[in-house]
Amino acid sequence: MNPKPLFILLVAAASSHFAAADDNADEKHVQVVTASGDTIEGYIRSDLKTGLKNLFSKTGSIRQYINVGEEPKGGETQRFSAPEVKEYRFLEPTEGYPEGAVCVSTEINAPRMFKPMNCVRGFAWELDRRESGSVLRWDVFENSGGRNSVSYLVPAVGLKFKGARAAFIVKLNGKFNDMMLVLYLKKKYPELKEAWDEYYHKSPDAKAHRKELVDNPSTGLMFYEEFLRTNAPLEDEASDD
Amino acid sequence: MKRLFRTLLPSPRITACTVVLLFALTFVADSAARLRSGVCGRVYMTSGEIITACDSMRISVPKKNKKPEIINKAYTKRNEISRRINPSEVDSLVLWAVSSPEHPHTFRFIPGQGWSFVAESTPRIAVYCIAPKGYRLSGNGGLWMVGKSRMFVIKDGIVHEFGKPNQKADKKFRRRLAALVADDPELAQYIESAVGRRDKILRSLRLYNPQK
Repeated sequence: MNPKPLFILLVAAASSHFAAADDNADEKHVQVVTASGDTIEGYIRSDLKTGLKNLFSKTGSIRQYINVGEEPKGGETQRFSAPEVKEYRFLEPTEGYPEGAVCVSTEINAPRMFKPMNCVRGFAWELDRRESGSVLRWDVFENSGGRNSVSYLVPAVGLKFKGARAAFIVKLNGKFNDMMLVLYLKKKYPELKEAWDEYYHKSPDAKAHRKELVDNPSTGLMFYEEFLRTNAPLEDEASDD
Repeated sequence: MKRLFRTLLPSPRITACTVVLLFALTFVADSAARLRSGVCGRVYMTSGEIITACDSMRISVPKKNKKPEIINKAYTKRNEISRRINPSEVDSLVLWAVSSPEHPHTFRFIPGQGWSFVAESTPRIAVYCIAPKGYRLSGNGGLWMVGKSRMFVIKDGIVHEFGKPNQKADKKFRRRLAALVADDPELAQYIESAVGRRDKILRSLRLYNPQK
């Protein structure tokens, strides 16, 4: 059998793989801001060890590590953990993220048994950033329940008020769920908790307000901005703002 | 028939209770008005009329061939549809999320296609993206297509389909697109050598400047 056509096929397949990698280069171009304030430009890279570290991390579904290289493919890469990074920003804007997608390293509420206020530091997608805080998105495991329980990843959207300790879920798997946020505000800022309860649970239009929050979680931050017109801002000593 | 009624409603007491229960359920269903989703926006009618909706008034995000709705007292218990607009009467629809008015998105109704998002628009050529299942505006001003979407270009009144926006721009795609703008050799050459996603290359059609 003539090996030449097979060799040509293999080279074509390999070069198409490299071409595909270059095609996606702009989509992976990021600017990393470290915790010390340095700015590093590079490309997000997939790495087996980083993937495994994220998969088996203690934080579960919340990502802890990213791998950044100077080039889209080849060369050396550097692994960063969530405490080492402040945020990383994708430089290419898209229709979904008009100013480029941003992934921030922040404290996220991850309730455990007997520890509802447990928080972990990890990466979360920033859906919106306003003066009063930010809207973040991460994934959590949810059990189907029943006899043969199955765990599956669902999207969680949370609000991190400026001055708060962490981001707390307000929307879980497309449904309104502010249990942890209300519990946190009950301890740290009872006046804000009362105003939140009134607006989203007790007022005649509470159901409509909850629907508006599900449609656009940034309205939760707009509610907080309205609250700040006549009240002092939330100040938690454990906040990293 | 008589036997059926006797089986379902064996006594006058049960009949009366059933009637009262049905009446109560109807009343409850009527008082709990359906909560409708809407965004801020401006409708530019072909007649010259401009309808602006923000604050308590909202517009429903257009979908497929459906009529956009103007919602009064939006996100309240007493929300109601004040007007349904015929797509053929609309020149364009500009929508934005209430939390990000600085990122508006334009939609046009294209006969034969449906409500399409205007990616690029020049007097000679226009690039559209259509998602039959609808669109979603996020709080940061971003626009997301629900389900599958595809892109098409309209030049001289003719629609040219160009597949999914996030699909890789292969040689066939680039050749077809370059042939469409062959009267602009510089742009055609750029398209032939461009790499990346289809939507990114299609957006370069805003630079289309045919040489006469």
